[in-house]
Parts: sequence; C-alpha cells; structure tokens
Amino acid sequence: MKKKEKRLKGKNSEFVAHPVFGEGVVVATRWDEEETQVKFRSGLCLWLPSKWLKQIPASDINLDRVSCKRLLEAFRLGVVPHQDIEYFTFGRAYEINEIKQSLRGLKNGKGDVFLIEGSYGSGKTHLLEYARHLSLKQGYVTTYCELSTQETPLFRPKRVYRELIHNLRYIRKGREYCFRDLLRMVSRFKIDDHCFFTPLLKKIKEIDHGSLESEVFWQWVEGESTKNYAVTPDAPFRIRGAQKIPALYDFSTAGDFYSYLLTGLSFLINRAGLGGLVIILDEVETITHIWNYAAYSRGLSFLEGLIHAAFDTKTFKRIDTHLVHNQVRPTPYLYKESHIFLILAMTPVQGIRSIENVINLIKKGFFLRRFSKAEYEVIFDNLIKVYRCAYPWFSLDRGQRENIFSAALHRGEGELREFIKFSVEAFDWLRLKR
Amino acid sequence: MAEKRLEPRLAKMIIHSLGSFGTPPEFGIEHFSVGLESYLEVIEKEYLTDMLKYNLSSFKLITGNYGGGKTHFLYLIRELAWRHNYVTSYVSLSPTECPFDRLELVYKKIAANITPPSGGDFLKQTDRGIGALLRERFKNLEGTEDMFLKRKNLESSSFTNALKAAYLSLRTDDEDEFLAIVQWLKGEDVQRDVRLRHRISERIDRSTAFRMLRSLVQFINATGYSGLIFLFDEAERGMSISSTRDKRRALDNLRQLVDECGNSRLPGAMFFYAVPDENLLLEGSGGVYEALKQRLRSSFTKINPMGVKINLEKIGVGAEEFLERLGMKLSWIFECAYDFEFDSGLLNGTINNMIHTALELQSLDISYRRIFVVGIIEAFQHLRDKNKMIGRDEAQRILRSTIKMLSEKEREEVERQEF
Repeated sequence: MKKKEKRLKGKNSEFVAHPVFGEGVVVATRWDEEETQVKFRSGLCLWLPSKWLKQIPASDINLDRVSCKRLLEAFRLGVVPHQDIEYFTFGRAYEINEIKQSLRGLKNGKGDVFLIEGSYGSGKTHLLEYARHLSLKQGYVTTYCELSTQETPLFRPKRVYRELIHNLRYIRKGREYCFRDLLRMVSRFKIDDHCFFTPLLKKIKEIDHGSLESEVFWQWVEGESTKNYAVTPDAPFRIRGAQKIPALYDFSTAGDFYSYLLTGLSFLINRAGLGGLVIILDEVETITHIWNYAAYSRGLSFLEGLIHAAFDTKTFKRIDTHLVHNQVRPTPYLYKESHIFLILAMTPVQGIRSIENVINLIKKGFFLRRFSKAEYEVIFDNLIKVYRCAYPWFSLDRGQRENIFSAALHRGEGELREFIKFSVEAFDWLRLKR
Repeated sequence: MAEKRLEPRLAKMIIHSLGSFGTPPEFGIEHFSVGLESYLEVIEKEYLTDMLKYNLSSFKLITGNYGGGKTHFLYLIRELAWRHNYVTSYVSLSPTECPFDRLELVYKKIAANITPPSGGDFLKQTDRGIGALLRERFKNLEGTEDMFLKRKNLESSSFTNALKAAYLSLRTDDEDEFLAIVQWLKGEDVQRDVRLRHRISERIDRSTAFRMLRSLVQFINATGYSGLIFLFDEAERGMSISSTRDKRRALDNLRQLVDECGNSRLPGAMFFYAVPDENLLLEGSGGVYEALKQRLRSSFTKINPMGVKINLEKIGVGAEEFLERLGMKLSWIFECAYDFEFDSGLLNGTINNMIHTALELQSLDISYRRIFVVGIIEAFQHLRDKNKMIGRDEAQRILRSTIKMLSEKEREEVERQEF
C-alpha cells in the first residue's frame, strides 16, 4: 500500500520538542498524521510517532503600540529591549528548557552554572534577558551585571557587587521587591557565624528605617561609598554601633569576601523559602580586555570563586591559598551551603589558557546555533505583526514580503541581528518612501 | 523672492560665519539648508514628537566628510529640539579636552553645555550649563517642593542628594552653597565639607560617569522637559590619536551607550554622534569593534532616515542641484544682510560658474560643499562691488585660494590639537 505523505511548506512549519532528540522543525506527516518527520537541531531527520512530540507554540505577539515602537527602535540599533523579551524569543526552546531545569534544581536547593557562548549577534544577551525574565517570573531572587572594563570589571569585585545589589529583584504576590526588602525580610533569621550578615541583620532590626542615618546606612550596605561622611567619629551620619560590621572592601583582592557575601545572601534567600539567588553575568569575555596581568588574574579568581560557589564546592568552604585572598579579613569563598544559579554569557575566547581552564569547570552550556529558514519565517511574520502594531497603516503585498524576506536572509548570512535589522529598515523605507 | 526678508543682523552673522571658514553659524542655519528635509522631518515626526515622548531613547550615527554639513545638521536638530521643549547639549569632542574614552570628561562637557529651550528666541540663547538649567527649572517648582524632595527614582543617590541640596539652597537664597553643589554636578571637585553636608558620596569619575549620565537624563525627563538631546560633534578628532587601548575603551563606551538606548534606560534621550567616516571609527578587529559594527551597520543602501546611520553624503539630491539651491538661498541671505538686490542674470551666471568650478576642483579631504560656500560668499562680494558676472577663470582663482586657506586652517587645527 502506498504511504500517503503530506509535505509541509516552510512557512507552515511547526516547531516540536522530543524528550531525547530535543527541538526540531516538522518536515512532513503520514498515516493520517500518526507519524511525523522532524528535522532536529542536531541534524537528524527522523520519522517518529506524533504522540511522542510536544508542540512548541510560537509566541503570539500581543503588545501595545509603545512597546512595539520600543522593540522596533531597539531592533534598528541591533539589540532587544529586556521589557519585551518574552514576546520576541524564538527557536531557543532547547536552551530555555535546560535553564528551566536548572531553575527547578535551585528550588530544591541545588546550585548550577550555565555558560552561553555565541558569536556577536547570535542572541546571547537576548537569551540572558529571557532567562532573567523567566527567573523573576518563577519567583527567584534574580540579579544581573553586564561586565565592562570601565564600570564593572571583574577585578573590582565591589563594583560588581554594587551592580548586582542594585539590580537585585524578586516578585512575590504580584509585587516587585528589591535588596532592602529582602534584607528586612531575612533579618528575622538568626545566623551566628557570618562575619558580615550576623551583625548586619542584627543592626537592621534596630535602626529607625525612616531616619536620614538609615538611608546612609543602606547606601553603605549596597556598596556605595560613604567614607566621606559616615566613618570618622564626629561624622554627621555615622551609624552608631555598626563598627562590628566589616567594611565593604574596594580592593581588587577582595573577590573572596564578595563571593562569601553572595553565598551568605543565597543561604538566607533559601531559608526564606525563595529558592536561591540567580546571578546573570553578561559580556564575560571583557575579562580578557584587561591589559594588566595582575588585575586580569584577580578578576579570574573572583570568577572562579563564583563558579565554585554555585557548585557548592566543599574545598572552597575553608580558606585555601589556591585563589587570591584579601589581606584584611580573609574569608572562604563560600559560606555554608550556597544556593546560586550562575548564568554566564560570552563570545568564545581561544588561546588564553588561564580563562579556558576556568571555563572548562562549567559542564553545562551551549553554543548558540544559527536559525533555520523555517525559524526565520516565524521571526519575520512576528516582525510584521509588531510593525503593524506600531504603525497600523503599514501594509505589505505578497511580492514585497517575499522580496524583503529573501533579501534579509541573504544579507544577514544567518546572523539574526542582521536579519532583523535589515527587515525593519526595509519596512521603514517602504513606509516612508514617497 | 517673495519670502519675508531676514533680519539684517542675523543675515550678516550667517554671511560672516560662512564667508570666513565655511563653518555654520550657531543660529539661522535653517535659512540655507538644502536636501536635509527627509531626515529632519522623520526626526521631528518619529522621534521628537513621538517615540521620545513615550520615554524611549535612540541613537544615530551621522557621517559626512570634512565640511560635509555635520555641524550644520546638528545645529538644525538642536533648533528643532528646542522647539519641542527638549534640553540640548552640543559637545565638540576633542582628543585633549574630552576624548570619548574618558567619559567623565565627556560628562563635564555635557553638563557645561546643557541648554534649556529658550522659548523661541534663539539669538538670546546664552545661558548654558546645568546651573542655568536648575535655576530655570526650580524657579517653576514653587509649592511643589515636597514632591521634588521625595523624588528617589534617580539611579545615583549622590546625584539625587545634590539636586535636593541645590534646590534647597536656591529656596533659601544661599548662592554660595548653590554654586558649590553645581560645581559637583558639573563633575568638578568640591570641598569635602560640602559633600559631607549633603551626603554626596561619589565622585564623578570614569567608573561613575555612566550612572551620572543616566541620572541626569532621568532628572531632566522627570522635571517637565520633553527630554535631552545629545549632539556629539567632530568625533573623529576624539578618536584620531587614541592608542589602541584608549580607542577600544572609547568604542566600548559607545557600544554601551547604544545598548542603553535600545533598552530605553535613558528615558527621552536621543544621541547624535557625528563622524566623517565610519570606517575610521570602526577600523580594527576584535570583540568591541565587531559588536559596535553590528549595531551601527545600516545594511540598507537607500536613504533611510529611521536607520541608525544618517549619511549626509547621500541625501538624494545631486551635487549640482544641491549647490544651485544652496547658492540661491545664500544669495537671498546676502541680499538681506546688505539690503540690495542682485541682477538675476548676473547672479545665475555667477552661481553656475562657481558650481562647475567647485565640482572640478573638489579635493579629497575637504567637501566641495564647504569650498563652494566660502567661495560663493567672496563671489557675491565681487558681484556686489563690481556688478559683473564671475567668469570661469575668476571662479577658479577664488576657489583655489579658498582650498588653500581651508587646507591650512585644517592643518593648523590638527596640529594645535594633537601636538
């Protein structure tokens, strides 16, 4: 009996996920759709029972006009705004699934580390933003820092800490909270053996939260410098009784101390029933842009400490001279059990052995693949939807649509950023031409 | 010409400014602009009256060679921005005073050049700087001080504290205190006791410059202005003598700026960054170059005013037509300045001869537009004095000396700045 196959055209293709083979695109169906032929991201093209496959719906764009304009302007600049990330993430179901699994692990107290590698324009920051959105949505305490050689280099751990504290957020019962709310909440816990949080939480319970002094105090806890007006005995905003809390050191060797603080914080977060702390670091490759070797290796120590903190490595729970330690108050890199899920993103670094050794510690991760033509079709359709939402009078006939799609695909050479940029610019040109 | 005559003082200012070195005057440039309508219309309609008002932000790279109209274009945008109640900051970047790799110095220049809208009289636009802006803004806050004092949403606590202190010192007529705080807001060092009094814990340095810039934008956006328009000019000099490391740092700052705009972290802000040649800016290899190239690349070759890159060499008007329209506009300004009328036959012939000679003699370094502008003003003077058409030989003599003069000036400027 001749098999009846139904070949699917590209633009009608569906995305599916398989528990073993991962994500793929439906190519054809047969036997009244009992079996489906799927081309997987690994390159395999298999006939499988349809019931084994889970359909991945492409997100339906339902945004307001301002959000659409923000999205389009960001696309023109070659970036994606984090506010609208959920509505514009495609074809990363496999990666997102892995991140979701690690987030589930964090709920059970298990930390993890993920490395996202990809060339420029492959969508790393986009995926990080999505991960941040997902983590917040699932109720985890989440923070991120975009590393840079100027503002937040890894060899200045206090700046990274300040940025992480500044960006720390979590959502409970539909309301967003920040670092101060978190500390007030965990101040009800008693911990006796953390050199920073033990006296800090005690102090938080005592201070008058409405006073000017408490504002200065919070600035200090958040890593802002207050030494000009709160340190000397006669300083007008000096916090009485805070001398037992160690200073937030601004040394490049203080990576141990800040790793210790972050693990302590994750411990408290877990005790508060919020799972753990999700730390997202973008542009990790900037560590290799540091020309000073001492600064580079100190930054690398901080990074390695954070990775071990997320893995909860036992040897890092005691002072060990393997990594750099500050000389004022050397602490282990880890406090008790840490509950950190660390997500790193970087462009691949080759030929720099010391960073490669650190990166090799990470077992989970992926190199962002390029999208298939069918996936680009879905992205293109959604782009048109967004564009029409922003500019309702905009229209494209079939010929124009196909021409722009082919030209964008050709021009982008498989780079998503270029593809989107070209498409939006072409729509603009059509809309504005007289 | 049926058009209303221009005020002679303004017309003379334009003629003198253009006739000396071809540099555009600060005001009145809309009277001799040619071919930029498509860009300006889009900037006004799509950005100034639309996107930026929704607290979004944007970035545009302006390209055009020396004398190709970059400053002219930035001044036009500035006037347009003032009309729509935007605060502007025009910053001329230089390798010594404010290279882009040292963002704290760029911040200083931005703060010093902040100009609130003048309410229409651009010739009276003299009060600049963050101090002038605060005086202007806080003047209108009477009765709403509590609302201002409770404002805590600026990114930097020090910046918020400084603004509150500036406001209170103005309310109590404490001029010395106000000036001391403005000194800090301008990125200059202030005495320790001033910082102590007002809980200003940070210095404006390279590690905090971005935060301060964001705080400045957030403040301006929150206090009733439509937003802040940044105009960075002569950026090529800011990059030209940088070491590889400094250049990378400068490009990284630029990349971060583009990303912040894409994420709308600078509400109501728009950046215009003018360079003569994007290839000079982006030549090099490695991460930061690639990241920035991808953001600034405009793969669409047709004129696209919404694109991230605005190429002033491609305005959709041919060189000859451009110069002809420019010549006619300038002749009208010249007539307004000296209160007389050219003989139309002699004028058309002179402009025609000057156009063809300028296009023949155009040099690689200096745009034919600048050569023509300087030369035509001299030709108008001859025409006015002798009432005789400028022939091809005379046009060649005028333009050759113009090229020589402009080249020498260019060399002097480069030497003064770089050595």
